[in-house]
Amino acid sequence: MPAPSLSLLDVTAALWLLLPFGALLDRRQIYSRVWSALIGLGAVALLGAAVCVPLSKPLAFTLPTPFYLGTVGIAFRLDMLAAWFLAVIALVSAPMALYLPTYMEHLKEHANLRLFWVALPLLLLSMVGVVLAANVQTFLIAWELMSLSSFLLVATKHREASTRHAALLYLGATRVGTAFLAGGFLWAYALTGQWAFQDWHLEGVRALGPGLLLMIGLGVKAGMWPFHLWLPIAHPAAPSPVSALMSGVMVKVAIYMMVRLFLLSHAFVHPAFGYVLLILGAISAVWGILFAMLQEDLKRVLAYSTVENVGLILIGIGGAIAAQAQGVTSAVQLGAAAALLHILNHALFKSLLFLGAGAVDLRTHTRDLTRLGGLGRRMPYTFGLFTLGAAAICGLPPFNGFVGEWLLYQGSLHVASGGSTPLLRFCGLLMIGWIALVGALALACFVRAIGVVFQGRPRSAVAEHAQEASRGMLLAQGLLAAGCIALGLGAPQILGVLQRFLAPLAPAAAPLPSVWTLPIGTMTLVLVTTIVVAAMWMASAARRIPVRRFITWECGFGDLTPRMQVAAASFAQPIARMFGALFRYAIHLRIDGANRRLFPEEITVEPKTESILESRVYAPLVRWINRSGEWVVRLQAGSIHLYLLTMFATLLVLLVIGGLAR
Amino acid sequence: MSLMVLFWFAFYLAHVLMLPPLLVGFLRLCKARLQKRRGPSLWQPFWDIAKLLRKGETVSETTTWVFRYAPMINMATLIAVALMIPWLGVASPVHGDLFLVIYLLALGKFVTGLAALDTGSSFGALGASREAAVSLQAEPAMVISLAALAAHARSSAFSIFLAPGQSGSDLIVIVPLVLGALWLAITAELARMPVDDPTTHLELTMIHEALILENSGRNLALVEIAVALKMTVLFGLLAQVLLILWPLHSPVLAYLVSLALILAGIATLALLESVLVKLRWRRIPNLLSFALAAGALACVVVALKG
Repeated sequence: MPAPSLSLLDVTAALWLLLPFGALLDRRQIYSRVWSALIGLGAVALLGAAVCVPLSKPLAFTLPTPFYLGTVGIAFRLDMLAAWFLAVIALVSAPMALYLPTYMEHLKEHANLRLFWVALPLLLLSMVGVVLAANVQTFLIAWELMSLSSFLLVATKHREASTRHAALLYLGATRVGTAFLAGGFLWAYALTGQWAFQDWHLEGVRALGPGLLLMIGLGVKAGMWPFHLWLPIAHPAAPSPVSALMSGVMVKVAIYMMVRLFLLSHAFVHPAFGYVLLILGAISAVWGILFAMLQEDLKRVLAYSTVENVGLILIGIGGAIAAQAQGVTSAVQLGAAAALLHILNHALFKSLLFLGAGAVDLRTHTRDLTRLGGLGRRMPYTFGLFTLGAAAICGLPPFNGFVGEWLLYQGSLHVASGGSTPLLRFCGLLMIGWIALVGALALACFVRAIGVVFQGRPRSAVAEHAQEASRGMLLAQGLLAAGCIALGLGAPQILGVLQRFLAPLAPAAAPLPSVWTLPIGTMTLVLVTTIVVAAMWMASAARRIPVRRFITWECGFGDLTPRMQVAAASFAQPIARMFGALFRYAIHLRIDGANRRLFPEEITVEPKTESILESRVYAPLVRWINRSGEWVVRLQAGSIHLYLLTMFATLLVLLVIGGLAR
Repeated sequence: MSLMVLFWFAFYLAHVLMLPPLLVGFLRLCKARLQKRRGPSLWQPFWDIAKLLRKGETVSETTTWVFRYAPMINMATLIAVALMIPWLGVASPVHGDLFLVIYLLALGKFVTGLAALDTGSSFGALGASREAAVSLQAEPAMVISLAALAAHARSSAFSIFLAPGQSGSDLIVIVPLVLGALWLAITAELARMPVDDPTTHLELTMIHEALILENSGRNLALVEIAVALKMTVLFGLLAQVLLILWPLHSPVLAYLVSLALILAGIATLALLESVLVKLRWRRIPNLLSFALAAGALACVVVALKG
């Protein structure tokens, strides 16, 4: 094999395949540093493989003959798009290797780590497999391995009832997803007679059936509204590095298949796919970030924000498909580039935030926003890195989140000015306003999260006695933060890479780097100069008249207590009220005491929320399934007559169907 | 070429330094005259800021580096914004993009909100929460109304979509709608009446003043400079939107007319602040939905015309 990519891939596969065996032998669970190092080495090799991919033609390779699945081989295909996602996997898993040792040391008391070290490399490897899979069988094997290994990882702390519940819910969600996927694949095979993705080219109404089934199956995994319910429950239940992998990378693997099947390889071509993705993406974005605003668990805030970001990515993909159908060629490339760039960006900053949340969890043993606070003074580096990640996820310049959002805006603007019908042009403008709304909500959500966790005064003793995270954990976060800055400042270069494989989508459109005309360099220079000058002046002034340190202004009533601070729920209240109809927001006020009106003894105020999607759609659905289950059980009451009758009826029905089919 | 850029850089920077306090003084003077008071001198804001800069500061023990650096970052973003928007009627020294500017303003809001939460004071946190809630409507309103102009001109570069004297009969409808939406959004962004009353004595009812309650001395001076600069630039932006309808080909004339329009805008604000009352907090979403509606109507007109 001449290609260095493949030999590097072999190195990754060898390292990650050997690791589980080594970990199984490690009975006393003392070699976590070794296992982390192996993961890191594999990730570096994977990054090398992704970078070395030749541009001209994709590399196809199959496993040798003993590995065979029925009529097809285990086949892989590595092209630029796959390399992009391999890079995403590698860039998140490499810093993870630095983070894992300390974190796992802490986890030892709660869980069996041997299982963890078996499942983690399998998850990484299976994600690589999904990205490289060239045909349905290979894909499904890797996909199932990914689902099962991540299920094991979610269930790491299985001694807690809530974790068991989350893991089972997640397992159920993956089953539903795979069922849809299998249906879609079989349908597509029936229409094309091919198993390899590359040979599928379905257009028009024929593409609709299998395409929609696959879209739902992938959407369940990606956390697309309305199939996102499991995501905010399962992701926080896993150990933080795994949450980072699941939110940062695994949901993207599902999106990767959407990009491949619906956009780049033209396997299923119909404008409806674009509209569906666009609408569901737009709903996911607002829905996700609104619910993130209401959460009281730090990791659940981050998980809901993943739903939001998946929504933004889907807007990009759906927009690109729709623009292609409508003939707005310039927007196709922008939408696709926005989606792919946001996938990479989100992988970086969401991992950074999850690792930060993990550090908080490790040092305080709680993720409850009502018990945290004031960690900024106790964990200054974690605080700074988390704030940087939050700024990046809110799309603030000069960090990387801004680049993806700007491309989305630009694509919408192209639709708004170049669309063929008034409705289309209006939709472009509407999308601009919609993304702005999502941006404003994200800003509020993350100001709240940072403010309640890191700022003000500690709300509990555990937060008061927190200590800074270990050096390895900080280094991992620092690397991810450096990535956020580098991708923000180096946008033209990264757009140049995207241009190479997105160019076939819209050959006539202007190349991506030339679209990017923003003076990010000059702007950063102005910002940094102003801040440095102001800071130097302030420092010199502080030498002349020293800064007086005193308590926060308390209106003269004696020192404030931490409980008097604005809590997470009260910060969100104005916004929650504005959107209250979506989650039946209500504030329950209870006043107790002998003389309630004049001398209340106890006052409790509690905001209540309830998602209408869960209470009005899913809950009745589950009830209906349970009830019909009960009815089915009656058939299985042990009566042999009933069984014989059932068999006879089934035979009859099959005969009739067979007769009609002929 | 680079000499020209340097000249415009210096030109804009001089205005960034000098104009904002003067305009604040002008606003106060207008309001005083409308209330039949003599009012402070036009230069009073300069003396105020100079005094604050000379004074020492008291900082809460609870705060972190965020509180120290937030006013500087906020001021820096506003200076960058001021160099990107051609708000003086002449070409801006740095190429400006609509979405970049909106997100730079958001960066300022991000650090200001964090600084308010840093003190652990309920005032600051309430201010931050309210500002976030207000900008939830103000920001999209501002974005879609300006995006309507951008879609009309087919570019999100300020130098193109704010170019004076653009052709198109539909602009006569679009520009007033955009102006209306922008006016409401800008008053909300600047925490002016009827969204917020900057002259109340009770911080509990306010948005912006509650946000910066803990800032004092030099730190407060930076905040005041930034607020004045934000007002100046956003009113300059309003003036440029109005100028779209007039073909002013001489840069000197465009500059003078822009200044006059900014003053007129400030005088209008003073008049409105004198006759309006502050809205109840719960009614603000209703007011801002007018901004959203006007922006959406502008979008409809742009979309229909194509």
